[in-house]
Amino acid sequence: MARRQSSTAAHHGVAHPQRRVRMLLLGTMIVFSLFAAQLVRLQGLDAATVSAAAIDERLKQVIIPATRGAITDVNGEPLAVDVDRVHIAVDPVNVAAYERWEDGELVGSGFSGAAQAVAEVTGEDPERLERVISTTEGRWAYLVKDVSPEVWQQVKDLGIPGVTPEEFHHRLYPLGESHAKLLGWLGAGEAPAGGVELTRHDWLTGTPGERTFEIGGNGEVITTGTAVDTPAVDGGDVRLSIDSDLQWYAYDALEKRVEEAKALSGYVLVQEVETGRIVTAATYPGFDPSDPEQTSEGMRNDVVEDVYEPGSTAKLVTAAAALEEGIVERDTPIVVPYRLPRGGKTFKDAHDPRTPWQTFGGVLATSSNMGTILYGEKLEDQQLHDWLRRFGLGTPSGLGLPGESGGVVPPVETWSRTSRYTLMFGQGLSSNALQQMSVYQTMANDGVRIPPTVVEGTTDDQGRYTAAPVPEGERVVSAETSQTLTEILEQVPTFFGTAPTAAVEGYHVAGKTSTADRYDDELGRYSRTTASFIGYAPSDDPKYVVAVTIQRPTEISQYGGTISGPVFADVMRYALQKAGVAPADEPLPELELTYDPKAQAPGHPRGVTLGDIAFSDERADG
Amino acid sequence: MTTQLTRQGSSRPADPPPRTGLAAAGEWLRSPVAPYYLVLASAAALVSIGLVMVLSASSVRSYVETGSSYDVFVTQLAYAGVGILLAWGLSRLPVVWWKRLALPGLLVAVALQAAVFSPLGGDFQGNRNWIFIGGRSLQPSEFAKLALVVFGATVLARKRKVIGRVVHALVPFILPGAMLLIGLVVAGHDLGTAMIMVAIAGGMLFVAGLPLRWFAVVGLLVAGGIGYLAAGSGNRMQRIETWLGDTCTSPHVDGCFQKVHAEYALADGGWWGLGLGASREKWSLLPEPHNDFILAIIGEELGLPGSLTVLLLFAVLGYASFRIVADTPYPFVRLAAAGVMIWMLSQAVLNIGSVIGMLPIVGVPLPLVSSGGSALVAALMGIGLLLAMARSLPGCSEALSGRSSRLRRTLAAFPGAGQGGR
Repeated sequence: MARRQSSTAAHHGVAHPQRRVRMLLLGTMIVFSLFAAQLVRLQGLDAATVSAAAIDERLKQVIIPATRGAITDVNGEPLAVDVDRVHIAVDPVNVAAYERWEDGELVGSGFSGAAQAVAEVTGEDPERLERVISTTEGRWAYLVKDVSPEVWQQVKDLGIPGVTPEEFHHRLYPLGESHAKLLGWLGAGEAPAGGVELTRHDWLTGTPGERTFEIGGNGEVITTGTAVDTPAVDGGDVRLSIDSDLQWYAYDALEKRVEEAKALSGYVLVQEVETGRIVTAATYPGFDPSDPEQTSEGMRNDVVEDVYEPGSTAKLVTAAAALEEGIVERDTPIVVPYRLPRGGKTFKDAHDPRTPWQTFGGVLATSSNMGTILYGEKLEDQQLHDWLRRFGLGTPSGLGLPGESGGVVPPVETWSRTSRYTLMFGQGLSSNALQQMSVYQTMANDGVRIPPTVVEGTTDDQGRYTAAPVPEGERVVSAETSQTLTEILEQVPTFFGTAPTAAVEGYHVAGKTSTADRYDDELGRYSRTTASFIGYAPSDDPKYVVAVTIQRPTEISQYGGTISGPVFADVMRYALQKAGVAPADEPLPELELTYDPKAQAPGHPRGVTLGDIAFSDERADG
Repeated sequence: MTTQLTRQGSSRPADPPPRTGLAAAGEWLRSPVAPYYLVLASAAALVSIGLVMVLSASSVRSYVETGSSYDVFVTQLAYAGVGILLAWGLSRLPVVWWKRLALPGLLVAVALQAAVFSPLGGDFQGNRNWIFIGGRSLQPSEFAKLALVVFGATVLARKRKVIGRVVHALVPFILPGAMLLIGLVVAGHDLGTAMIMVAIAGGMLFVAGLPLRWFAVVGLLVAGGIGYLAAGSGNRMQRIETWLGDTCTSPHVDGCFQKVHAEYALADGGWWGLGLGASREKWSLLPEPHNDFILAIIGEELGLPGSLTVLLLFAVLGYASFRIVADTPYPFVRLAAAGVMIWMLSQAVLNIGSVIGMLPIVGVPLPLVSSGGSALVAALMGIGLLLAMARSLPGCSEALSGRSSRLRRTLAAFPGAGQGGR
């Protein structure tokens, strides 16, 4: 192509411009060929590994927190719920570029402008905020902690570069102290402490999701980039059998009584007789779950963790065993002495009996230790031990609250000389409040024991509700035995009975006081008492068992009837009325608790008196 | 382009008798209008690709800065409009007028370049090569390249018989003309532009026929000069180190950020690209995505076909310029066409080489493609010059004006179509 012009240039004795331009073009083409080869290398051959590194640089993964399931009461009232909260974080390097324009005028910029703007929205001190931004070394600090998503949205709308959210969930306990020990606690960490939060942790916890996306140089999401969202799976909800109204009421009543009596602590348990469901499990003192820090001591759930000697309420076991073993009947006459030497020790009652001529029913209703020993000693050691175990003492209740202590029913081999006697009236063994209540639930439920449960059902993340099954009951005593014992216990909490403070007006209540010697761990010896009252009502068709226990009362009284009786009556009345249980329309049938020792003994030859056949301390004479 | 021509040529009835497609294309390429249309087509394609890719590459940053993704693009479009109008006007400027404007052009260029140091001037990214007039910024060095080409062509054409004597070759083209301009640009620390101007001046002397022995001397001087200037700046030394050393294993290594992100962009694009608009690196990652590094974004979005097309279009522009040089009897036309060719190609080589890591990062825009008003307008004016030179080829002007309708003129680009079809 260049040939036409080459001759012209040659005439002038200089190089041919065409040839030189061709050299330039050729050189450029060689360079372009190298460039093309380099492009093939970069975009084709080496692209995969380089691109992987590039994506690595851009990819960002963000954890999407899963919402923890709610804990509600039996009516769906929230007891523990997750709320969305936001920590606002700041990168001072980016904040420096902030400018705030209003009507075309620059009204603020940089650290001070940003601090002022954030302060206006959050109500924080602008000087503090500015100090946080300006003193931060590196590129990250919390600016404002724990704000609502609404506040964060307002902050976000300010458009301050370098201000980012850190979303988290905060656990809220709307009913505070009254339910605290039952529910347990979830602080800033994800690990639950105590209560239902701990035992149902796996169910309540969801699976956090993950959002993967590509970000640009300023942290913006690249809209055309890779975006993979693994949504969080929220945790399931747990519905408790607790009636929060009743629990709150019980807690309130308990708090007043514990304070009045200057006692150490107390607990109120309410159980539904037919299902074994726990309707109330209040412990005083509770703790304030809104405090950001808790001690394990403060969160201890005494209602299942405290074990103590039950005292007289355990006489019900001895009585049931004696009835079941055919040792006594309701009206079996007993001669109650003032003093009773057994096992090298002389036993006596707290109050000397008004009359020694008491029936079996009278002995139980007046809670006579002497009388109990007189019929109880007819039981073999092993029989007594087995009956205690059969009622669930010495075995954790299975309620499913953490830290439950099963208590101890000592094996026969380890008994001392006095063990068999003290065990009959509830000293020398230990159990928790739940186990003792369970004995009364058995009586209330015609002799069928149903293990206590506190979870009514669960709702999964799809909203499907599954009711928790009611555990199968186990017959412990005959219906007849339970009927007999109920008749006797009805005589206790009446306005004319031994525990008038526990009477509930309009209802027939069966129950038993207990004033147990309390072993004080701190002192290392017995000191003061555990004052309790356990009962059920209405006694002809029991709906609830209520167990009130107050530890170490120091004022007013130390007796169970006086201290715990009023709380029992208060809670039971509220529970029955709330459940709409009709009051009794007939007066309580009278039961003779004493007898005339000279009266003819029925079923015996003529002339044999009740006094003759009565259980008495034969060994006292001999 | 060749295949397209072939298909068009062979699909139409032809008179004189039918030829093979390849022969027809060859024949057309030898026609006097071919350089004109090749310049027109390649420049138009580059500007079009440039506009589309400036829009894509600048959209993110534009949105962040102004709230509109189109802000940079609209400005660029306006400059392209101005540039095209100027190119159209200049393409019709007779050769004699170009020669007349040579000296005034140089004087204006020197004056504007000097104005950079007046209160009108300003800095941008460490380079003092801007002046601000009426709210608009202007980079006089871009226009100085055109002035240098026209001035050089005029002077060297007159001296073609005495070009063998070095004094004639250097005065007045190099001394004082080119030296003055380059000196001012270097004083403004714009090494990239200075290198292009050195290439233009040296290249034109080379084309004009300056004996090769002088290039050995000048080459050493230039290399020494560049070395001296580079060593005088830590920034430049670092760029050279990152180029030669195999140190850039990650963008976080000092001085590697831009180079590695350019590689990332090209690798992301791969063989076929992520698709128009889908660049990742333009999201505040690769600096200057719509400017010096637009080729990386082209490669990322349009893949290897995109980046190779850009190379091909510059090759076509180079070939068309060569054809003008080869076909013209006029020394001025020869030198002017060669000057524009050296300008466009050297700048393209520097730019593309920077982006693909084969040259240190110099910081020159890709001609006709990159964002930047002054550069685009100046480059389009250069294309106007090239078109004017193409029109001056024997037979071209006649071939173009001999056809009344624009359609026919366009069709004349395709052998046989113009006559045979009608």
